[in-house]
Amino acid sequence: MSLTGRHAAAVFAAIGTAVSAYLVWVHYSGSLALCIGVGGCEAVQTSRYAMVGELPVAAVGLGGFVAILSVAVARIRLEHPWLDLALFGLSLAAALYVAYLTYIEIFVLGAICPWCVTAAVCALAVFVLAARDLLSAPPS
Amino acid sequence: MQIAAVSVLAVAAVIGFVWLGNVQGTPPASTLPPTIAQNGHVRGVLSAPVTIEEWADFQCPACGQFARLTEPQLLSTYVAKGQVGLAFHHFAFLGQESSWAAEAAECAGEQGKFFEYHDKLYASQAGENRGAFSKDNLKKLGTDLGLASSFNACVDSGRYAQTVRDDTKAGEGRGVQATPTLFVNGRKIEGAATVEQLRTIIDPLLVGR
Repeated sequence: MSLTGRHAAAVFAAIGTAVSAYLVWVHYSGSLALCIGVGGCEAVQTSRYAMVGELPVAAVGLGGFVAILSVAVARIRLEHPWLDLALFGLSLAAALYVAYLTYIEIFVLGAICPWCVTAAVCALAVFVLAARDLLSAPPS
Repeated sequence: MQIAAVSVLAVAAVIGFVWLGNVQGTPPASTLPPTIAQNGHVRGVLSAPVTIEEWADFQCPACGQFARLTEPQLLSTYVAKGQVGLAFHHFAFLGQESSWAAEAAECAGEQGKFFEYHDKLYASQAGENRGAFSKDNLKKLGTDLGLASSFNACVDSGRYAQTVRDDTKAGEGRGVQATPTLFVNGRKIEGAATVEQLRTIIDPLLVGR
């Protein structure tokens, strides 16, 4: 991946981290997420799918994005195949999970939360960049 | 090989999170502590120093949030001590299934289980007008609560449809535009207020009482 691609992955991870952190704050403050232009944040945020055990899904997302961001930032400075592999694995898990959550939003809850969509796009973008990098790398 | 192994790990992790999210028990809604009187749609007594009138729709997620997170704390902190009376009103405005759910709650009330059914409905929310509160599902919830078979006939009869419409109309008359809407000794509060937010309103009203 070019340096630009590595930076882009880190930027998407940073946006995902910021959005997840906002949603964690929304959850624990008891507030309702700002839902500009589109309804549905409230429906998603307060649905039973918004929790994983005792944790809000947003906190799971925050943990995931922090891990992705850490690896993505490390890859800007370090050249190591394990970092590429780690970013690929983490972003694949994130992409699959956001795909599941988006399915729940559309087909079960019938509501779309723009914040969740933003986080999903970020996870998918990091995955695409990481996969492109890993698959195009020359065999070591 | 490494890519395959990492992919398998990633898929396993996602399956784990999805499984965890689905096996969790839905938190119980406002299960009534034994010391709290229940009369019709009122928990506690309306002669309490503070009365909270709630207008809500059983399909509204914020109402579910209020019922699951705030009401249990209100009940144990204030209602159980006789300081607050909590009255429920229907504001069924989100579609047909809102009306059916409200009517079914009235039917459960015939057997003295309005709030048990209220809790059951909020624990069963799954989207709006997507079948979660179809008449068949509402009857199943009644069966789960051990309601007598007359409950099913009541749900089918629609005999509380006018009651629900009247309640909703009364809410409109009070200026209700969103759910949940609370009136704390007449002061209007929109949205799923937390117990901390309500405490700042309730506690001053209790000073000297």
